[in-house]
Amino acid sequence: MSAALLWIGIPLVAAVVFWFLRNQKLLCILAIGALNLLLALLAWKLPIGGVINFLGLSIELKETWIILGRSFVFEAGDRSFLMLIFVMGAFWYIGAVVVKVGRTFAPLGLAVIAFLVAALSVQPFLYAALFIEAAVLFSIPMLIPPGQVPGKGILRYVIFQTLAMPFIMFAGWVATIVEANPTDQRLLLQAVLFMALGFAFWLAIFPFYSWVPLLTSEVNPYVAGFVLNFFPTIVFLLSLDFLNTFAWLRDFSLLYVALRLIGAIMVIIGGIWVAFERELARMYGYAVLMENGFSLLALSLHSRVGLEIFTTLFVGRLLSLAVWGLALANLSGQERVTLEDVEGLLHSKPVTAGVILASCLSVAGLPLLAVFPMRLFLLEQLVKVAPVTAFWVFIGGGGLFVAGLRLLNSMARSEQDYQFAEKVIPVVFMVLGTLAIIIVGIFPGWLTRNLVGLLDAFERLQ
Amino acid sequence: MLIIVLIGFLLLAGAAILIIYRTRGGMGVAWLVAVVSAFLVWVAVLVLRWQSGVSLNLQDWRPGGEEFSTLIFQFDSISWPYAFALVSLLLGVLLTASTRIQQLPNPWAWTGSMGVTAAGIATVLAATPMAVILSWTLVDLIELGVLLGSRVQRLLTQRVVLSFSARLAGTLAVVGAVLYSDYLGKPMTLSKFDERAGIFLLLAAGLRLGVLPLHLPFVEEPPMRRGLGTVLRLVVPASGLVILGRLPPAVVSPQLAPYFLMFSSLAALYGAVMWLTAKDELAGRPYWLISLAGIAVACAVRGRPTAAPIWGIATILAGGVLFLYSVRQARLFLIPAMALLGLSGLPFTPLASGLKGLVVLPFNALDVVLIVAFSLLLTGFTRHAISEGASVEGLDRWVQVVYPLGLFWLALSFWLIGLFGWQGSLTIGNWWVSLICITLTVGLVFLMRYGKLVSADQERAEWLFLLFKPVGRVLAAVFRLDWLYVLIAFVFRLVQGVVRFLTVLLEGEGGVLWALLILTLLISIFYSGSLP
Repeated sequence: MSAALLWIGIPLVAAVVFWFLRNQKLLCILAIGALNLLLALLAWKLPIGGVINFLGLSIELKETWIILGRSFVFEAGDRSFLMLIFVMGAFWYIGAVVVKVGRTFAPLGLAVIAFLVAALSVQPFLYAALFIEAAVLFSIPMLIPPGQVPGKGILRYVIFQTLAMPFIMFAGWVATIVEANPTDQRLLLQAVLFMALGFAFWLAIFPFYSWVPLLTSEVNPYVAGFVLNFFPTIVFLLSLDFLNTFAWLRDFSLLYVALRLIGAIMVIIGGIWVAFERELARMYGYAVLMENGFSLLALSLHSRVGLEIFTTLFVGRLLSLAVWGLALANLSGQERVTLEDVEGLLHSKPVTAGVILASCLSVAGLPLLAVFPMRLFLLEQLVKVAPVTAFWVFIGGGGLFVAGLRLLNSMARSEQDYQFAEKVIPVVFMVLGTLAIIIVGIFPGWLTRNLVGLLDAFERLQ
Repeated sequence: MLIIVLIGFLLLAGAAILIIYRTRGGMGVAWLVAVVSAFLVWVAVLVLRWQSGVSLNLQDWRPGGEEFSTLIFQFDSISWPYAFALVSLLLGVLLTASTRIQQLPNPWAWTGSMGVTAAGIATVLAATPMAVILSWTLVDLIELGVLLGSRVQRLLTQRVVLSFSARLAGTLAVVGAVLYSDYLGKPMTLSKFDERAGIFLLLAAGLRLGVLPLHLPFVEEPPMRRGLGTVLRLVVPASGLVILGRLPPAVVSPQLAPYFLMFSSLAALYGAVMWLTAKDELAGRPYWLISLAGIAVACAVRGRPTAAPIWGIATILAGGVLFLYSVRQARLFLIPAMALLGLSGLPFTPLASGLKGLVVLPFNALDVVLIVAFSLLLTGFTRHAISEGASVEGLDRWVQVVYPLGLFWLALSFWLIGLFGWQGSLTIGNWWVSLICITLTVGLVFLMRYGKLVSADQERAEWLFLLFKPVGRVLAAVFRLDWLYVLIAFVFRLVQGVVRFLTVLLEGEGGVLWALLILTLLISIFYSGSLP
């Protein structure tokens, strides 16, 4: 049996099966959540390329699966990112139990995850663009409930993600020529440019970011959070794969300057925009953009430490954005909620309000919460190589603090007595999520150190 | 380990109080457990004065492997007096709670006081920037929770958020100090850091204390009044004051020093005037805090950071005596008088070492301002101490014993710190400055008594308020910074309009084209080589 069959084939088949069971929403969510956990567990325990003894049978878990001339390759070093992806999936599905997501969320979400895993493992890599495009297309019915007209955000999401595909494919084509003619600077520049544009569209990098806040304000924040967490995570891992594969790309000095510039612009623009934003779901969108900016800044450090920061940033990001999305979805469903609408929320729904505040301030980098330790570490490294950029990033990052404080001001403003009339199960989920944010914020060491294992898959980046 | 035990013991005792109160319904037993626990911690902290090297090191707290990644909490010459002062305050609050049991039985407040004190101790023991950042945030979040959770407090919501914002800005200033040190290539610890980074720490403490820039979010004192209110009001500034003692002597460049000094002296003077004229000691509490904090900051700015801690201790302990002095009797006046004597700065009194930072030769106009401010503080203390309060009559006999004991414990702790708080704490100080201040104070008190400005009879003192009210109103309007908030709101709305316009542009129908245009612009800038 090949590893690809296990981590791509089984989820895809399961997605098809659960599509027919989609009316049993809770069952689907729970079963798919459990499947994600199981796949994460298998990624942790099974030796890729080794032999498994199961019920007296010896099964070889092959690294490569060749289909239609394309190969899907998983190596032992890939187990960490498989674990990360499926733990993320399980995390998201567990949360979905208490959120009003559409019936299609569970099966299509699983298909999206399977396609994204396929994108990471396919060789030659330019086919990754096709799998990501497939994931994008599968995510659309998940984002728009049946019968609803797609908004501007969804349309723009499809446009920009689709525009990425030809650029990445062109980049792949040019890259193969560059491999043969490494001294041809013009070709090299073309390859880098195509690749940069492709990633810019995928990651909603400035100035192609406008679909993110539009999307978060149009669809269920939890489902939007799913898309906005999975796609950037996979694309970032893919970018590491590219850097790992092509020496000419790693050695292209301008790349790191560009990453730093773009990362800083994203943080600063996101920070300014979020500080003046009135709609909660759009704040969430800008926070995602800022997080992407910080990840780019970590990559721009061009060092082992930078890569470690890059990987460990995932924990705080995942936890905070997932909990924020959960609380937003629990608060509003699909309705637009502004600062005026949440006046006094701390009194009427103290847990939901507290969780929104905690997760927002966590993404902002409030000490004691999940994002702070690694964010500070990133700034410490950045200030050594680019003090001016670090200064502006520090200031720009403050925008999310301003947003959090505006939220606090609005939510706390009330003359009413405190009520605890919230549903118990969502409250339990939100409180557990917030506790996780606090625990990671207080004890960041042990968890983040394990995540550095993600880099095992990229041996040339050590 | 010992530090974890101390803090954990306080937290567990706090929880135990609630359990006892809920399960056995025994208010008395719950109170006794609280007092005994606080007393044990007080004794333990006192003993630690003579133990060296008591610290809690959490290495490799997060990835990084640098000094900054380590969390250290330790007892040293700067942190011990603060830790001792906080525990003494807790004990004082619990002992004097005996007078409040009949009016407002509230074990939640005792548990809250113990929790806040535990967090406060962690804050003052913080010896690395990361420990400071984390513990400051913890205390701020606790305060935010308590204030927002307090019923009457809701009217002051905006003030609470502003106060939290200012403190958060202070915490971010510490982060700024860390980053600046990294930029200078000298990773920061609190015992060793580049002087140029010190200004960030000064700013951090100033923001936290409401001195730099001068701001008073709580001109109307939150109505928790005594007990938990006193603990909360005093623990939070302590966390900012303690860091002043760790600053290098040349924390501010000579060019900037006059401005910093002007701000802090102004804060001290303004606070002192308002404290003197406040209706009572609780109404004047925010001014007491800001005035003494202003003097402490001034000490640090003038290159006498070692003089700063005692001002913080005085804020907590001498202030604590007065703020808990609710039930009054002629013979009980001896206790605030004991605190007042300690506050006088006379040779070999606790504050004597602090006066070394109040006036630094060569003498200049700001020295006069600080001397006047300090004299007004002493006068105000006297005024509030001799004004009328609730009567001892009707209180149980045990309360009549325990309540003065609580006050005495605070005054005694103040003196103990003055006697052996750190090497050199018992000193002759700036005796001539203390003489000037005492003379001024005595003169003012005499004048006010003679002119019946200060009186046990509140009605006869009324015209004092009438005299100062308009002045106070103008000063309050200026220093509450409402005008600044209005200005900020105006600018905010202006920029918000621009941002909205750009949003409409980028998210509108032509958004994709705009995005392509911006991309072209970026690429052209990139290739022109005009990047930072």
